[in-house]
Amino acid sequence: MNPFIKIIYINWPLQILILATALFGFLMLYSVSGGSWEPWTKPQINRFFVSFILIFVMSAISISFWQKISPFCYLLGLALLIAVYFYGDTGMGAKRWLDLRIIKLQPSEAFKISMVMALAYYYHKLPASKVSHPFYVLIPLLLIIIPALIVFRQPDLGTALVIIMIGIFVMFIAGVHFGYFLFGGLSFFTLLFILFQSRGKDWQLLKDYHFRRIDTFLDPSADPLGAGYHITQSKIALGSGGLFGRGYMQGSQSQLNFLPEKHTDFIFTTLAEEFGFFGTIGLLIIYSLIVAFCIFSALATTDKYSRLLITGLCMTFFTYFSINIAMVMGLLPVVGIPLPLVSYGGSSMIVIMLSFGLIQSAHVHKNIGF
Amino acid sequence: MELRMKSSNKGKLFTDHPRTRSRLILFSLMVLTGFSLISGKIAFLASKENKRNISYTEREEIHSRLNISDRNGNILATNLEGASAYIRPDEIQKKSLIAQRLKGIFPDLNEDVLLNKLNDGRKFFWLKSIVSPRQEKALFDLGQPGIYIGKREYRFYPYGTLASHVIGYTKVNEFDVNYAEISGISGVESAFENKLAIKNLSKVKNNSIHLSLDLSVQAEVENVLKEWQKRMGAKAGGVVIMNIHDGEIVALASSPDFNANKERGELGENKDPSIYFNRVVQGVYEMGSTFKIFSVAQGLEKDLFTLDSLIDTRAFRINSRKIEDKYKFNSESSIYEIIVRSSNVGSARLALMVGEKGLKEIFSKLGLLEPVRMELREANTTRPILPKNWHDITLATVSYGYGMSVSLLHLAKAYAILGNGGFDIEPTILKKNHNSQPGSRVLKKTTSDEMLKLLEAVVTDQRGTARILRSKYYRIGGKTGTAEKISLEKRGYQKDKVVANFVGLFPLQEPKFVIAAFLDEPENNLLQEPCRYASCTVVPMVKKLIERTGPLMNVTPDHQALTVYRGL
Repeated sequence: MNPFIKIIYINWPLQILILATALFGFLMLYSVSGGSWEPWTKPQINRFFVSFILIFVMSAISISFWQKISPFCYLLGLALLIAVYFYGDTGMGAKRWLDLRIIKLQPSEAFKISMVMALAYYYHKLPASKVSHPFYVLIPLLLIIIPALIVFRQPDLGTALVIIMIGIFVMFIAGVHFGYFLFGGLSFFTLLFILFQSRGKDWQLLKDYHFRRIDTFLDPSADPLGAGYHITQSKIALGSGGLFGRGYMQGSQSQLNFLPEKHTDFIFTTLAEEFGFFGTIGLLIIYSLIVAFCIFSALATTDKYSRLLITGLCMTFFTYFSINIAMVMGLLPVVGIPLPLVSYGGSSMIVIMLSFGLIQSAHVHKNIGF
Repeated sequence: MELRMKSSNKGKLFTDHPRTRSRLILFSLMVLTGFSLISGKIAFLASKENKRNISYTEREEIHSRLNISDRNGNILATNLEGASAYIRPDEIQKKSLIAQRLKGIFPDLNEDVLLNKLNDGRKFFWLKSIVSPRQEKALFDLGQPGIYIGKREYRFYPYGTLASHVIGYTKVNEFDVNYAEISGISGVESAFENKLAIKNLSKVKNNSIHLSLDLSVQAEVENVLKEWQKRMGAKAGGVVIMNIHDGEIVALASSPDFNANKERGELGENKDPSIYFNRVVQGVYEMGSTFKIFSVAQGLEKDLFTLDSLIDTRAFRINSRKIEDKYKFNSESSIYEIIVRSSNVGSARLALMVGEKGLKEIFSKLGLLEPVRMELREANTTRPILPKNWHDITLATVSYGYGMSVSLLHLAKAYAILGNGGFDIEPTILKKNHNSQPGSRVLKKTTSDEMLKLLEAVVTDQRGTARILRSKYYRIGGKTGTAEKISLEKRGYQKDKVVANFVGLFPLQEPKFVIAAFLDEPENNLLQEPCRYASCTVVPMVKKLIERTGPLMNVTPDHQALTVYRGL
């Protein structure tokens, strides 16, 4: 089929929703930079439209191609993770960035995609009857745990947990027996208990600031000017928006620099302050619709690889926005996870657009598998 | 649609696990739940009316605070504009150099702690909550990005310790880089919190709360009190001067005191918390003989006796407890003599004549059974300690001031009612309009007149306990009281530790003020032998107080005072 004709078959509602979200993001960035294209809005727009076109290109490429390169993507991703561990730039007390001259890459972000691809590939090749066999459960578990450990050592606890979450989720969708998850859940909580027991001992397993963040999460007002500053200020912003918000570019918390990271992880608070309850619910509905269209797409496809790929990537997207919003509202501790398509930032934007490219490719080729 | 139809007909090369589909639907439900949870939380946050965060400009107005001034408009407390300093370490490159320079500006900073704060990855921290203008300039001159100055207001008390217990103190309640919200902790600052914390200063015509205090009188009172406290080696002391007609408190001093400028809402090191204690208003003590005139007043009120009635003043026993006097009295004495020379036996007899009901009635009329009602929270929460039962022995001891504890303010109020013609009053710390309504009558006019005569006799009579107070200029009346303090270690009272007090009315030709004063554990060592009685500790102090403050309060000297004095 002619690649240009293929474009007709992409998931248009999904594509439009992505565009809408991004426009929302430009609006917010323009506001937080005080009504200016610099320094955040313009680069963000450029980045978005380049990657937006990339989605069309990727969707024209056959899903079987993506399927074939999946294992190599995984290995490449793992290699990058190891590379960043040894050669990465240190930013904010963690080695997360790899300077590739042209772009600075955060491999742990990109790795989420390649892991989903690899897991989908694995279950594609694995006969359905063997899915719950202990040995065949162990293999994907290793595929998940090893990179997660590397990320955890960077150290980036948040991303490591997200990687595990997404991986486990793909296994769940693939149909692994429920007992494994029950067992896994129980051992997770046991581990959590041990972690807290380790605090202050010689064998402390987490960094002090992790514990501090958890403390702050449990009671932000205990340290309102230190670690709790983010949360307290953002709650103030959320509360002051009311039903309709204070109007575009009228948010005092964000405009007056009370909010830290207002253009990245905490941009949701600006939104809440300026557009109020209806603005935030609006964005949430758009996000949920994106997830919904992905699920429709996953249900429609006949290809097992495609189905797992779409759901896995969709879950990645879902974790982004749900964790970010929950964190801003003080439902979760502060972990550095951006609001997808809205927060300023190259790595996350590219990763999200790449995953939509794959989802669209799977959608276009949903009936054929070629 | 067509494509999909075709696809389902095609043979499935790789078949799904049967659970996949149901699990996808489970996932959808999960997303839906997450969506509703988050919407719910946002709705909750959005619905909360958050008055702190209206906007920057409104906020600035909220945190302005009215002045507090005395009755003549002298400012006792005001808000000044100051500055705070905060740091965003991200923007600072040479951290150790900056830490060193900051140490140069603020010598009290710990350089290691500062350097640690600069380096531990936090994005923001406070350097100082208040900096002086000179320090502000020095910070500015550093020209260092990342160090910020924020404007804020702070509370200033121009006279330092003056009237500290009345004015109270404040703390910074809530603050940010551009504002600080100040709220009152004690005294007037706390009692009038709602009036003081004003939303829109421009709408307020009168930007002060006017107190009834007179700055100059207050200053004299505090000077004299501190001087005499030192002279008498007393632990503490207090004085209150009040207008007996409208209840305006002209001066109220409690020692030791504190400097509200140094209060930040918390105790410093080595600081004694008792300095915040308003001993006049919050301290309840057994008052001793100052209580004696209450049963006399009740007897006069009920026509049980006159001042000339003769009462048996021989020592006697109630339930094996002996009631006796330290001085020798005749077997029968007049009530006049009982009060002037302060006889416990006579007082006990009078109390028994008046009875439980009578004593309670007069206490209730004079407000001795309840907290004093006035604006200060400290007063409203200070309850007198009353006897558990009112047996005869209790009536006897209470009549001369043991077994019941009240504050000095209680006493001042009670004497004011006795002296103002018998009208109920409510003490106030606010300046009143001239035509304020007098309270309801609680005592007969004749009772009040007789009481004034009696109190003046305590001063003018050669044998009176307050005879030192005889003045050439003023006619003064009053009653002394000395109560031994209860021992904390063992049962009973300690002979060498007393609370000495005096309550007086002046000028008697036209009574206007009540003055109540006390010293805690005074001892006059300037005489041949140490004396702890009120007559040789508090009374000389009161003499000084009246001499110094009388002219300030426009009390004109009375020529009759001279004749009364000579006549005796």
